Amino acid sequence: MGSVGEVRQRIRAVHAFCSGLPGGLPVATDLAASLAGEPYAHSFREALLRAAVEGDPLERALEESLSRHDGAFREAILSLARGADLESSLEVLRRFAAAELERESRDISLRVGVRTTLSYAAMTLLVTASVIGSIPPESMAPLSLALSSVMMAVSALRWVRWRRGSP
Amino acid sequence: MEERISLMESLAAALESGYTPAAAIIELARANPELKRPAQTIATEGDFARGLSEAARVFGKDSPLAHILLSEAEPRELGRLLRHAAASARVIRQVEREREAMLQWHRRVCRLLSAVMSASAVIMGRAASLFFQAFVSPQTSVEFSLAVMCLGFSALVLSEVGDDPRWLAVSPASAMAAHLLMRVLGA
Repeated sequence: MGSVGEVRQRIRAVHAFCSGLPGGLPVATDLAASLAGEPYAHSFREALLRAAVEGDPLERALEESLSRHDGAFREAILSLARGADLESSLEVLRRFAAAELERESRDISLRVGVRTTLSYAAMTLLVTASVIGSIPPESMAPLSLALSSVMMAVSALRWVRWRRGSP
Repeated sequence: MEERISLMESLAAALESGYTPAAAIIELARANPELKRPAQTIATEGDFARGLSEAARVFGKDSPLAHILLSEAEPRELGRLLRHAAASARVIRQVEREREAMLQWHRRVCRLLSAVMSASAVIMGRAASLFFQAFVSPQTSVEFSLAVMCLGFSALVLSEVGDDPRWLAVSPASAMAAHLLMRVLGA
């Protein structure tokens, strides 16, 4: 399950590569190496280095250095590298971005579903425990306050991360 | 963003019609005040490299244009590059809009979940309190405790989709509404 910011990173990497394509494969790779975030930029830099030092064709160097990334990302970059014309390169970018958005949406649904289920399970468990006498009803208040504080702190961190990641 | 893309397209058109990058920037600066400073750097100070860097910055600090402009390509080639960069920027702008719409949809769902979760927590708390009052002690109540706990869970759900933290107010409001409803119903 990828983080929310990761989807943007991936789209940004493919966008950078696609933007430089009319200048040739080295320009596109250089552009992606400078504009994409880590770990994607590292793979593009590695491909450039491999092509320069070992003398491999850049397309093969890209194939090897992108092998650690998932299939959809690798496929998008390699189909652009294999000489897609300008119009179809935009189509590749569009299709990749649409697939990434769909994946992000599915991930969010899953995470929200898990959080909601956990919330209900935790509340039900606590109430049941106090009803059957496993925990005294008086300890519900400090327990709730402690749990709520922890969750608030985690949420605050997430909000900060979202704010940093917003355009 | 739209202005930046249009500017990119104007620059591409100027380069394609034979202007050098420096001349294109000076020409476009007449109609685009944001390019005045780079044009001035090129025309009066004669610092072409710095002028190009300044022009690139107009398109955003991480715009692909910044790198393309500095790649020293032949002007017509540069024009072609820019036109393609503008077209892909349009695709990305459309993607950003779709992403925002998708996130907005998830945010609405999360607000609804937060409200429902808080109301049901209070109802569950009321049922437990009635049990305690009947069998343990008449003063015992866990409604408020569960509402506080639910506030934390609501924050967790809302922050999952980066919603505005002010929507957290939905949770106590919904808990209060559920509490009042139960009072009205006599529970």
